[in-house]
Amino acid sequence: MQEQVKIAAIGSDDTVLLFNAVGIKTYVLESPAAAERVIFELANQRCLIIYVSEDLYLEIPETLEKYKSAYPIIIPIPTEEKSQGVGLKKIRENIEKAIGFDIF
Amino acid sequence: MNVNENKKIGIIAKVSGPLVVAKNMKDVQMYDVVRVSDKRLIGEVIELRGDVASIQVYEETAGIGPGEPVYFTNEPLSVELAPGLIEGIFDGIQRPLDVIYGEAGDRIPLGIDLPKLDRERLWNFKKKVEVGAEVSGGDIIGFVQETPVVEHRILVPPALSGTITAIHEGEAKITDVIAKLRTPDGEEVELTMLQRWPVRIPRPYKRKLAPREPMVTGQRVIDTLFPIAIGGIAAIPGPFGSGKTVVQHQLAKWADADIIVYVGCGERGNEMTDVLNEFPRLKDPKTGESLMMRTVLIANTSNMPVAAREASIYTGITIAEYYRDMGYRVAIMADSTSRWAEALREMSGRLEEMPGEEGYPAYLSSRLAEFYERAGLVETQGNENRIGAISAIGAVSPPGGDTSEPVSQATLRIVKVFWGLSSALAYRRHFPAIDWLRSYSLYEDDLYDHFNKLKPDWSKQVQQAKDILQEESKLEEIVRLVGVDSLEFSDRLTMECARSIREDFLHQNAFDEIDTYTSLEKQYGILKAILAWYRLAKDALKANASFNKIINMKVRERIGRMKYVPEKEFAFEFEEVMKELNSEFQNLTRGDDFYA
Repeated sequence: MQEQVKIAAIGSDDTVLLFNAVGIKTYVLESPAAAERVIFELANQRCLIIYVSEDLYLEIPETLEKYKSAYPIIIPIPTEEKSQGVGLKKIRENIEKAIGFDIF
Repeated sequence: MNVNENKKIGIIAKVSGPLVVAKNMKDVQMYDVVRVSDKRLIGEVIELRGDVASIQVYEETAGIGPGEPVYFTNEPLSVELAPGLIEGIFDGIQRPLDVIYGEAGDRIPLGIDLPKLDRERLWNFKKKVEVGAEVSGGDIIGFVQETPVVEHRILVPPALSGTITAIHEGEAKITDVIAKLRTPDGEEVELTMLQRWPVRIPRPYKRKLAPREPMVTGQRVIDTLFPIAIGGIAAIPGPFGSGKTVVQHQLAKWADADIIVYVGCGERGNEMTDVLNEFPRLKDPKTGESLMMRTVLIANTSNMPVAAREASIYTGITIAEYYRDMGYRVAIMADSTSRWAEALREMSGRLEEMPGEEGYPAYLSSRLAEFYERAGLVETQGNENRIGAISAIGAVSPPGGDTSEPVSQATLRIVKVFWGLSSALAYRRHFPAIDWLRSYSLYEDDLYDHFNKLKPDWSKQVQQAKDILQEESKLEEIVRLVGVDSLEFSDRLTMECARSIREDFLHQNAFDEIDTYTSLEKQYGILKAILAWYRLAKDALKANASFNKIINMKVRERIGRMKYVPEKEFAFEFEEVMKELNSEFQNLTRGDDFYA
């Protein structure tokens, strides 16, 4: 991880493979602990956006809480299996917080 | 009682509760004691106008009316000072309550006239000076072992000096002549163990010294955060039920003093009962003897006559001064000065004086100052350069807990240590409910030199703890506004640490056998363990350790139990805790499986 990474993707092989195609640095990881460690290191290098596969995303609530500030933005992405709607749920929560009621 | 008393007789003109106004009183002086009516109630002259005197009567005045006589004694209100004070329980004008109980049952009969101290008891007097010795006021002429822990030093009365012409050795009553003294004028004075001293006049001393050493109380919040010096003065203001009395009792039990004078003025009777029941059973950690062996109790409970309450404070401090003059470190607790001030207010109102703030007399603050100023560290009279001290601790009960009322304000102007009790803490069952954000100790700087000699980083550690508690109160406001989720982990860690300081360190159970007293060593150890955890936790958090794992560490539970570890085992326990702390943190930061 020598060069400056601005956008990164973390997840299983199949999930993050495509990100390689657009030049996004990818990390193929299976365990949440490892994901937490990588996010920590990326954050320390001022990485701005980190895509994380949904299954890992659900396992690392503490890390998500830690990086609630502006950057890095941690975005869940669906895996090769069916989407669990994690991202949508998050958006819904945020909107509810912002405007006071559920518009979905 | 006195030869003059039959010659001069005043006549009662008016009775208003404890205040009696009498005519034909030309020959009395201010603060003279008089006997009112044929019931011979004890009273004290507190105002003179022409030949009309206002007398505050220390007993119930029911059944007294105009026209009845007032007998003069021509003596100021005095206390008797001699062996036999310790272990005694007296009322506000030093009448022995236990003796009265034996004679008359559980109500004090009006005008009862009993010797203040036991006249019959024989004490074994050991002389210290020989015939021909030159002595002056305050010199020790002999000893009496008053209780197993208190050696009562018999002093030459303050104003006297001269040559000893005779001295006794062996058993004597307190009224027996134990020495004869020829003054420079050639007059021969007989000395007894018994001395009298007017309560309203401070006993003299050579010079006052600045307090330098801490009075260790074994109470963690007091010793560590807001220490009091030997010879210092402190106030404990607090609303009802916030634990003033328990704090006072704790100090009376554990304070590092040779003699304790406990003045219960205007508080509930059962609180004095607690003292009477508990103190004989408790062992002094230094001497192993019963705590009662160093205690003098003065009780004027809320149902006892108001005027005697006014006197009880002076009686207490005069006894304290007497033991101070022997070179002892005395601590006097007054519970509570508010009730005492209310007694002043009642008398002032009946005297039709111009009321000051909230009806208290205009001289309230000067009276309070008079009392507290009699405390202090002094070089006593006499040729031995003895150092004696009185540390005064007064409880204040401001109505509604609002310390902006006159008694609290007047007290705060004088005292240097303020232990503010908070009802919010008491409600949360945090005892002692001393509010760490409001309280202060102005002795801190002087005392830290002393503490730092004990442990080099004492003051640094205390400052850090205070900062954390300070920080917590700021963070708490944010949490109240937007919830704990909005805080960063490092701030949450600070809050956790503050919680640990509060619960594991500041909170102290007065009724737990071990927790009730904590040595300085142990106080330092517990705080050190908590702060060590905080320091390591901050580092671990920076190294990406899990916050939840940090705050749920097993060792924290052990830190929380440290206060219940007996003093003897503490050094070992401290080592163990520190070891466990380090190893647990190492596991936490190392055990993270990278790229698993």
